[in-house]
Amino acid sequence: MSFYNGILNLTNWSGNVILPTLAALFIAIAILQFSKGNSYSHALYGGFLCLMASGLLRAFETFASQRPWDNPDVYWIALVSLVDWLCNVILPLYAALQVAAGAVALATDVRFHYSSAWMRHFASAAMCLLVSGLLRLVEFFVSQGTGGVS
Amino acid sequence: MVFRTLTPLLSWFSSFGMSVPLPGGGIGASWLNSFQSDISNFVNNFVMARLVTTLAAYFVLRAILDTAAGGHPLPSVLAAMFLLGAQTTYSLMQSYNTGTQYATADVLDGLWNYFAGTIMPIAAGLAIVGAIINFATQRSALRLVGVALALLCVSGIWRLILEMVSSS
Repeated sequence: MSFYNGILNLTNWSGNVILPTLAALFIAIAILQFSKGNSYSHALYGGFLCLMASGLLRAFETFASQRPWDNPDVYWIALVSLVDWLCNVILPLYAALQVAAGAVALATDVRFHYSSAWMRHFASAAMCLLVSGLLRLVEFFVSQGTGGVS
Repeated sequence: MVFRTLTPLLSWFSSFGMSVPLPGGGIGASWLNSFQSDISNFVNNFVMARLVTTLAAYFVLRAILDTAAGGHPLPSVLAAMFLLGAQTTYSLMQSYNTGTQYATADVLDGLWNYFAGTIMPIAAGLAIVGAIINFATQRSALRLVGVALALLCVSGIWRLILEMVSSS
């Protein structure tokens, strides 16, 4: 018996046994929330994430290994990689999802979120695709303002 | 750890000019020898073989009760695992003992490397599991995402702190 084996098996058990089981529970919760017109997105995406724990850990390991282990910038680069992945990989995918949801809402008046309409979906999709540009715009505004108001 | 590295530590006294001779050949006095044997039996047969297991079982129960009370079960579960792995941890510390006058620091260095390089990346997996559960239950997940990354970058963060301290 060793602490290493214990924590390793605890992690494997949590990620590969419990989370896939909880995924079904979260999907069921999402369906129930959807039927009552409540917000269901956290439970739905949580269900998906439960099935992707190992993949997410591998992704995080990739983010954390962009520099040698003894490089002082390794945590910063890991955060940069995470933000880069979220903004340039996940958000464009989310934009496509929002376009589809907006199109369906526009055509059938079915709302995928209790408070959303087609305009919100399309605006969200546009902002997802423009996130880098929006950041640069904000940076431009701030840099222009460094001289103060004249 | 200090007891384990006491013999190498005593060699510092020689460098101070004080002779600390360590007689070899074991314990000569019979009453002291039996005392050593009793202590050894007590630790091996009672503490390590029975008491540690019972304490670990108590911590498992406490993890369940903590969860029932709205707390977190992980600290108690880790404590139980640490207790159950005490013998292996002791062997691990022995393997880091270099037997030199720096033995205590060497053992600490070895344990630091073991935790930073072996245990912390596994703990990152636990942090991701926690982040997913927090996200699905609409609690803050971002903190655990940052923690997972930090657990994977422990050595880099240590170097970062060193850089911050050393650069003027």
